[in-house]
Amino acid sequence: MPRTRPNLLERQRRRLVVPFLLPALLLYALFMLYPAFTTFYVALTEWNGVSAPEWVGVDNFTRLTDDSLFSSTITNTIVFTVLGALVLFPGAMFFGYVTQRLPLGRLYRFLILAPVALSVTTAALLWKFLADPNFGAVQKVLRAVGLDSLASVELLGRPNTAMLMVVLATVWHGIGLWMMFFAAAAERVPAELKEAATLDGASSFQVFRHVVWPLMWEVTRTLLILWMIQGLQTFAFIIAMTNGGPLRATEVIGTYLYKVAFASSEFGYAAAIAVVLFAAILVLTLLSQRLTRRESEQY
Amino acid sequence: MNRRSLLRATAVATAVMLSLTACITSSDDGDEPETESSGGGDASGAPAEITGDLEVVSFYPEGSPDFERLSGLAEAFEAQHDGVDVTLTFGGGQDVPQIEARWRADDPPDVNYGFLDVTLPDGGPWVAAGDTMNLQPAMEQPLEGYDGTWEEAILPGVRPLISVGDDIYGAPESVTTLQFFYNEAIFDELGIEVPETFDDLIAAADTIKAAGIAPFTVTGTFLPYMQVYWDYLALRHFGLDGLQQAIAGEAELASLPGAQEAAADLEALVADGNFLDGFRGVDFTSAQMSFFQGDAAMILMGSWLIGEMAAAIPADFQTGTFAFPTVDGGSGDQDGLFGGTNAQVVAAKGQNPDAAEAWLQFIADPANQTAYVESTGGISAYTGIPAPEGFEDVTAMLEEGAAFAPSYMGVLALSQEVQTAYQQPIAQLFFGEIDGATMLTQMSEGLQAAAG
Repeated sequence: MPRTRPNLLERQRRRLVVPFLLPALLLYALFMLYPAFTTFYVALTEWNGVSAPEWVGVDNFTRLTDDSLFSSTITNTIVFTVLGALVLFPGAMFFGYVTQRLPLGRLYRFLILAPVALSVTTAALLWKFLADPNFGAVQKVLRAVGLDSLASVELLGRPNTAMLMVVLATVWHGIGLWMMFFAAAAERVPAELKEAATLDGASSFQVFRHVVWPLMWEVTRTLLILWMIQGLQTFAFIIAMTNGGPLRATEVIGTYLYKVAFASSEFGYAAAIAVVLFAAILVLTLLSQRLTRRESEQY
Repeated sequence: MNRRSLLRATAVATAVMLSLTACITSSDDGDEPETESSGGGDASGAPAEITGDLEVVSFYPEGSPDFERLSGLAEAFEAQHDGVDVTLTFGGGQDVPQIEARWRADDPPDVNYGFLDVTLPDGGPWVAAGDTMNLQPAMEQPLEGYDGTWEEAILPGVRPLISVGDDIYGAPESVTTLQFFYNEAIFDELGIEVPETFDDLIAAADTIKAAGIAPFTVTGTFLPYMQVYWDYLALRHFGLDGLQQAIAGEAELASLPGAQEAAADLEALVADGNFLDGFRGVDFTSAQMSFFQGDAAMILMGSWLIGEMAAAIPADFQTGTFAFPTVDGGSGDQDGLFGGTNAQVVAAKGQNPDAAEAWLQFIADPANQTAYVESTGGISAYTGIPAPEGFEDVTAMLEEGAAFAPSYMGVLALSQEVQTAYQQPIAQLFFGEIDGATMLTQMSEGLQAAAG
């Protein structure tokens, strides 16, 4: 169908929008577009942050392909994201659904949501001290219940447990928010559908699996993509709890980028890492959207 | 969108981007910082009437004892210079990048730490760019409270740590060294003499371990503190030059005479549970706490330990110190000490460089230096200031002009490849994952690879 030219009134209305949008566009250009374009430019230079950047073309990107430290951070970032999803999503979904059915559900939700109010650094340090092998509460509790062999494990000092601890701390801190999303999604499911399934003899799990879950899929899909973005960008919990250790077992792209930039003053190389991270997030987000697309259930 | 609208939108977008570019690129073109000193004080040392705001970076977070001490100094400085308003800004730890960002934006605090790297011939990028003020003219003037010039008031061994070529760019706030601290009560009870050789140290560790106490504590989550053990053994066995060349990739570490022995000694030290259980998972605060609670008898740590942990040290705790022991047959430096100085520098583009310079001289005042030593147990960098107990040898050494080996071999500012190549094998040895020979091979190969 051929496009019709907007009438005069419509054109005037559109013009009227421009001055209202301009302040927001200016701020967006200043704080989003300009830094983004600058990052792309810096990625093509060698820059120590003080003297003038020196143009090196794609050298920083070539160097990335040979950087074994960067490769290991990609693996660790993926491990964090997948492990986090495996802990976060079942947990948030469980709490979101169960607290809806419990008599004191709102109170439980409040308690689960409360850690969100803590700053990330506070939450990370709290977990760091809880897991301290000498003075931490986790070890004391384990010893008190006779699990001395487990108590002697340095949770943040061993490569195979450190990442799990960081994931647990991250999930503990944020799960309340994700629970609320799931609870809101579950509340949108019409009660008649659940009652009908129950009357047909479905168990609680079957009601959830075959009625509630399919109707929550669109929300779950969006949250999965959001988590993936958050997981790929993870930084604060790791820098505060392990600083990428032990033996770089928790070094992720975000912490590596930070160290390359601010400890080693290689801003050009750090910018190249940032560009790659940006591209990876963009591609994976589009890919996830495509792969998780299903026909929406209508109700 | 018709053609006219498209052109209009393009023009607006272009204007916006050009304005932004102009805003951001015009900041460093000839804008001279405003100096608020009214008396025109200059580097010739002529007394200046200091006024205006002065922003001083503090290493220490608000609420810490050191911050309180610094606040007291700021008040005293304001009382001495009516019209000066001192602001303390936390710039330690993870906040360092924020301060650096302000330097890049030509809005630096007046008095800062860092921004001077004397291990580089040009003093590092900030000095090379002229952003760090050259204090040499002021250093050549007499300093109140001392006989002679400001430069002469600084201990000879400290001067190289603040100099680039013939010019001084920083004023030392204090001296820091890395040595062993030990629990005197445990040593006395077990009849242990202060170790002088590495064999003495191992023997002392065996005795302490037999008594059911951990000989050493260290943090496994901050690699530089494990690295220091290797640095010292390397210093004793084959010397600073060889180690520096190996880190720069100019020499093969594993083939240096004495390197194998240093690695074997480190393996012997970390073997058999010499370190407190769980050290892999503790941070440095926890490690230090376990020392002061008597869970471990020794800790290899910086001279700031006592000041940093003052609030947590039991009243009856007796701390002794000793230098890292010598090694038999070592061809390296048997007396060398790793250390450095907390140097304060003045930002050339700061708002009030005259007041900043006056602040540095105020910090150097004998009364303030003495108060610093007495309240923190730290070491002064100035002549004639009594050394704290246990550090008399350090001060004497610096008075004689002997130089420190740079703390952590300066690797913390090097590339991530070099840091990883140097520190990770040491951590792996401490964690019992590899032996000394493998550590040496990995370090050697890693450093060569990092150097390209």
